[in-house]
This record gives sequence, structure tokens and C-alpha cells, in this order.
Amino acid sequence: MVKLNILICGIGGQGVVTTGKILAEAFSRRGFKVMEAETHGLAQRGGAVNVHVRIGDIEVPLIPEGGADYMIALEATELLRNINFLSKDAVIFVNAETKPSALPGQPMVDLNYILSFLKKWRTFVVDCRKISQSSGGYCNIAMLAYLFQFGLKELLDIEDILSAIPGTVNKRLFIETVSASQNYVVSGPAGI
Amino acid sequence: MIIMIELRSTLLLGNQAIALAALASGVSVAAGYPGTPSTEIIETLMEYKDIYVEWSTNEKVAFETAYGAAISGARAMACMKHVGVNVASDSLVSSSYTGVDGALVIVSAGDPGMWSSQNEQDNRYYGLMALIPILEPYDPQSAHDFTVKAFEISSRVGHPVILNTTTRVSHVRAPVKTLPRSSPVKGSLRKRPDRYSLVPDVARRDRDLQLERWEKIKEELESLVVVSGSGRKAIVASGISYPYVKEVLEDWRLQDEVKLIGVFSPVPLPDKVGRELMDVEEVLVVEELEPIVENQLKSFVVDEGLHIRVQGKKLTGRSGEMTLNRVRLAISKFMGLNSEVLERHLQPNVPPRPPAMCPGCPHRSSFVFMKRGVILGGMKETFYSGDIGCYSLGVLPPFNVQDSLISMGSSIGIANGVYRSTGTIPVAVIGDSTFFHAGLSSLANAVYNNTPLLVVVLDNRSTAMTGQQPSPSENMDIARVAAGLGVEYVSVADPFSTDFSKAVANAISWVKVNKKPALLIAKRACALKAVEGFSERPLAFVNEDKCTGCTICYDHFTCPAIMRKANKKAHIDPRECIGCGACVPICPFNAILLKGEKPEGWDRAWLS
Repeated sequence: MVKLNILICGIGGQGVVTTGKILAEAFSRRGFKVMEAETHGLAQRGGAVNVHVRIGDIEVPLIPEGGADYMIALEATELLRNINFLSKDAVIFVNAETKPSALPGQPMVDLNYILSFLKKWRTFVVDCRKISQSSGGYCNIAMLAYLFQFGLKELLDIEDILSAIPGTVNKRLFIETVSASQNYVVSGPAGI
Repeated sequence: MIIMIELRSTLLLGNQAIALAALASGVSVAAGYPGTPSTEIIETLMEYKDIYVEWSTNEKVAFETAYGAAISGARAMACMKHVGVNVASDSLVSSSYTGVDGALVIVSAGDPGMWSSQNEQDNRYYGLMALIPILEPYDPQSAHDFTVKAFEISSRVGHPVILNTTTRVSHVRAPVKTLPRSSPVKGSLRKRPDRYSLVPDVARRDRDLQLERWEKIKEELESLVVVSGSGRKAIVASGISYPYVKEVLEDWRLQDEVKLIGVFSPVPLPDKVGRELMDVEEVLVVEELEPIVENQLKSFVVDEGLHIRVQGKKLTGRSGEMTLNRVRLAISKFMGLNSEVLERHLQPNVPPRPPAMCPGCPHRSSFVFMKRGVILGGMKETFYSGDIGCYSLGVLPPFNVQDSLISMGSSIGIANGVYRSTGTIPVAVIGDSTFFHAGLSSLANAVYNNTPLLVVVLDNRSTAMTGQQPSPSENMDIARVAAGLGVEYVSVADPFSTDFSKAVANAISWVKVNKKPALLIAKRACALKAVEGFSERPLAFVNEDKCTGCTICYDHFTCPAIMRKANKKAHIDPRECIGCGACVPICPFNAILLKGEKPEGWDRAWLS
């Protein structure tokens, strides 16, 4: 690995910053050079938020357009807002659930419209509603588990991520999601 | 003097690194006002109980607190966002005349790209104007190291030093090797009016001493220039632009074909930078925002009679934060490369998602009932003079109740001007922390000059936007403060109640008759703070038999927990609802109800 760029996007309050922080801690624990750029303050309140995590031979915190190797989209519309960050070989993990903007009269974006832009990329569509209902944990943790299983496990030990995850419910959700996803056969765009 | 012992590397935010470096430098007094992206410095320092740390009421007081400590020999620090320096600037500029006995470091946290600010001013100009050196870190590690350096220079020269960080330094997390704490350097009572009391005679003498110190400072900064590579072309990069240029040169394997000069003290620009350019023909200056280094370099080139072409802003652009693509583009043009900079832009249709007030935010209810109250008070229209805080989001539809907002505390002063020029009674909307920050003197002015206006103070007991820091309103009763200033009509109302509209209407009627200012306090706690610690909460739900699909709750109240169903009826997402009940009086058909008991202490948490 020379550099690795991971972009996490979503809505303020969904755990975008926490997800980035967990990844930064995991890579840092493994001894990688890591930089993670967060969004705080007014920008954080229920609005569109993204967090950049860069690892390896990097000097600056921001991922260039066309540079993201992985993307976690905690809300599907936000994936589209950040789509130009994707590199041509990027792998995407996206929450199937969309949420309308708090502005009145804004349309809900249909998941199929979003997916129509993603044909070039390997995309994992995650049913977050089901995951949080059945586990009581947060979906960003399940997304991290998929990212680990289908991307980062050559670079990190499961312990590196686990030690950075707060709370026993979330730790359990992470372990269970990783072990369940070992059974998935991945070829082309995949649904989870 | 720093004794190097084995250093540990910890994952830290830039702001945490600055705080730990201040502790390592013996800071004993630190003050600030919350403001993104500076807030976590004071928050981190507050965990240390053997030094004095405070949230001041505004940046000027914070600066003066640190300055007062530093002229007594202490090592002191003041922290604020870039626009906060404007508030502090009256004292800041003159502090450069007196210098200090101890050490004084001012952290100015800028926001290129305006992620959370009203402008992106480049505070390095303060260095040029006030003759205060600027250190410009580029990552959390350098934020730590340059903070230590700032304290060293300040105490050695006896002069204030500004550490100029930005969002992408302060809010970046990276491994940092930190120095261990050293004992706080405190002050002692000393009286030197011949230095510190700036009457004209003292000021003239101090001015000469200031210029002498400025020369010493230039020498101190020579070591902060980093040079690598060589060639007829050179790139001078300042602060965070240095690693951007470095990464692009490494990616393109151009490190050896161009001379790279890193500048970390853009003001004053060390002469060493110019000396490094003696055998160079062309220079590209890369820096965020304004041409501070570029212009000093051009002045050096003219002074020395050199024939060097210096380019900067023309190739890099002047607004927004630095990005790799911007630097790639600038370097390709400068080096005459034919590199393809990515142009593959997909343009999907994405609805805007600006920040929104949280579920349960009392401001949402204040705005809805305030607008009704204005009409009830007999005004067809008014001017909503806005201010800085979470309630700035009232600028967005459906509220549209911030017709201007420009700086902390400006709502009341601007309202005065609007009334004087239009004769329309304005409504000034200001938060409790902002009221104490810079609203007091403008409210005094409204009383003094009899401005007919309604001031609505949104008192949520918190400096909420920056993360629920405490607010002076916890200790001071705004109603008594206003009455003490001479406001004759002061009332308090709960914004969750429909009575709030009547309170607004009554106040407006009074202003119309009396032609004087009135003040209404909308008192309800920040929702994020109020619900802390309650695991069991009530839950709002929609009675679908009663819901007519009138759209009021989701299109005109817009709590993020309320959704529109396909049949136009409302649905409340139990994962988002916090059970505050604000939506209950909004529904004209009584279709929204609360289920579940209020836990013990619930009302007190919201209303005390």
C-alpha cells in the first residue's frame, strides 16, 4: 500500500465523525501514518457531513476528487453528493435508507436513482434499518465490519478496530457482522 | 529550553495538541470564547485544575485576561476563532507596543472555506498590521511543536505571538508526539506604568522598542524555514500549503527538479527565504487565502533589485481551502506540464441538505410562534435582525427570520439602523451567550437613544453551536440585566407554548405605543443538553384518524423527526423523536400526542 483514502459521508448525528475516529485509531494502533479530517460546529447540525481518512504515504488530510478508495455512505443521498471523490476502482458501502432534507418541499431521492450512478463501482447496499432494529447497535459499526471484511483485513487485525469501538453492544455487532459476512460470495455489485 | 526525553505518540486533534503543548510550555492562565474551529483547546485545558482556565464572555476579555497575566510575568494564552480576533483587536494591536514580561500566545483558528463562519478573513494580516509574529502550523504535530516555539519566542523577546491554525489543522486527528508537562509559570505583582500605560509619551517610547523587538523576532524565525531540492524554479509554500505541495511533488516525482521552500512564519517573512532565491529565475508562492507571503517576497525582490518572476494567487486562486487538485493545477501551469487534472464530473441531482436545528430545539418553536406574534401584534412585516448561533439557521425556509447576520451581537445595532432609515419596528433575535458577548452595549444604546424595537433573547442556557459550552446566563438573569440597563418592558415566555405568540404581540404593542425598546426572553434549554441522562423519555406519535395531511408539521415546523408519508399524512420517526412535545401545539387538528410518562426532573431540565 502506498496510500489509502477512505471517505465517510452522511448526515450530522449519524456517527460520521465517530466512524472516522475509529478508523484513525485502528490504523494508528497498527503503526500506519494516518490523518483524519473532521467537521465540527454549525456544519455538524443535521446537515451533510463528510470525514476524510487518509493512511500511508500522505502529507495532507483531504482526499482529492477522484481519490477515494473506499466510501462509507451512512445515508444514500449523501453518497451522490460526494460521488466525485470516488476513484475508478472504489468500493462503496451504502445505507439503503434515504432521508429527506429538513428543508421543506425537497424531494426524497429514490435509491434506484442513486444506484443508477454506481454501475461502474462495486457497491454493497446495506439494510441499516434491519441491522439497528435487530441488534440495537449503530449501523456505522456494521458498515465498518463490511469495510473490514471486504477491504481492510489485509491491513488490520480485527482487534485493531474492536479496541477503538465504544460499547459492548457495538463490539458484539461488529464481531457478528464480520463473521456473517464471511459467508458472502462477492461478485460485482452486491446487496447485503 | 526544552529537555528532550522519550516522547509518546498519541492520536490527537490539532487543538488537543496545542493545549498539551501549552501545558508543556508552562501556561498558567488561559482564556477563550468558544468558536469553531478553536473550541477544543480551552476544553482540553479545562481538565487541568492546577492552572487557571476560563470561558470568557467574549474574545476581547479573553485576550485581556491573558495579557494581564502575561504583563505580570505569567505564561498565558488566549484562544479564539479568526473573527474573534476582530473583537480582541483593539487591545491586541496595542499589546505589541508594550510587549509582555512573561509569554503571551494568541491562537487564531481560521476557517478557509467557511465551514462554520461568516467569512474566511486571513488573520495573518493582523501580524503585518500589529507587528506580531505569526506561526503557521500544518498538521497536529507541527501545531504542538509551533505552540512550544511560540511560547519560547514570546518569553525570550517579551512580545505577543500569534499561532494561526485553520480547520484542517485544528480539526485533523493524527498521531502526535507530545512533550511532558512542565510546572506552570505564574506571575507576580509588578507595576510598570512607564511601559504598560499607553499615554502618548509612553506609547511613543514603546513604539521604538516595538520596532527593536521586531528585528529580534526576525532572527528568531530564520530557523523556521525548510529547504529541499534545487533548480531554476522554486516553490515557496506557507503553512498547510507546504505538505500539499510536497505530496504533489512526491506523486509526480518532481522533488529533485524544483527547489521547495517551506515557510512556517509567514509574518515577518524571514530574509532567509529571499536569500534562497538568489539563483532562481521563477517562483511560485502557494498559500491559502491572501497573498501575504507573495507580497512580502515581491517587496524583497524589488528591494534587492533581483530579476525573479514571482507568481502566486494568479495560479492558485484566492478563496477557499487548499486542495490537492488546486495545487496540482497550479504546479502544472508553473512547471509547464501537460498533466491532466481530473475532469470527470458526474452531476447527479442532489437536493441541498444544509444544517438543521435538532429535534426538540427551542429555537424552532420560537421562530414559528414569533412570526405569528408579529402578525398578532398588528405588523404586516418587520425586519428580523439576526445574530450568530444555532438560531442563525432561522435564515432558511420555512422560517426566514434572519434578514441580516454579520457578526456577534450585531443584531441590536443593525436593528437600530434599520429603524432609523425605514421607520419599521424591527425584531432583533439574539442568543443568550451572544447577548453577553456583544449585545449588552448595543442594548444600552437602544435604551440611551430610545430605539423602538423588540429584542428577543433566545435563552437556551448554553453556548450551543460550538458544543454546549456553559453560558453566562447560567449565573446571570437576563431579565434583571435588561431591567438594570433601563429596558422598561421585559418579559419571559416559554417558546414551546402558544402563549409565546401572545407574549411577542404584547411586547410589539408596547413598543408601538411607547417608542422604546422592549425585551422578551424565550427561555427553554438546548435540547441536546436537556435530554442528557434521561434513558426513558416520552414519545410523540400521530393519530392518523385525526391527521388531515395539512403539511404544517413537516413543511412549516420541520422537526427532523416528522416525516411525510405517501398519503401526505405525518409520521414521527421514533428513532429521532426525543419526546419534547414541541410539535403537539403545532398541529391544528390535535393529531399529535405524547405517550409515556415524563421522567422525574424532565420539566426542570428544560425550564430551569
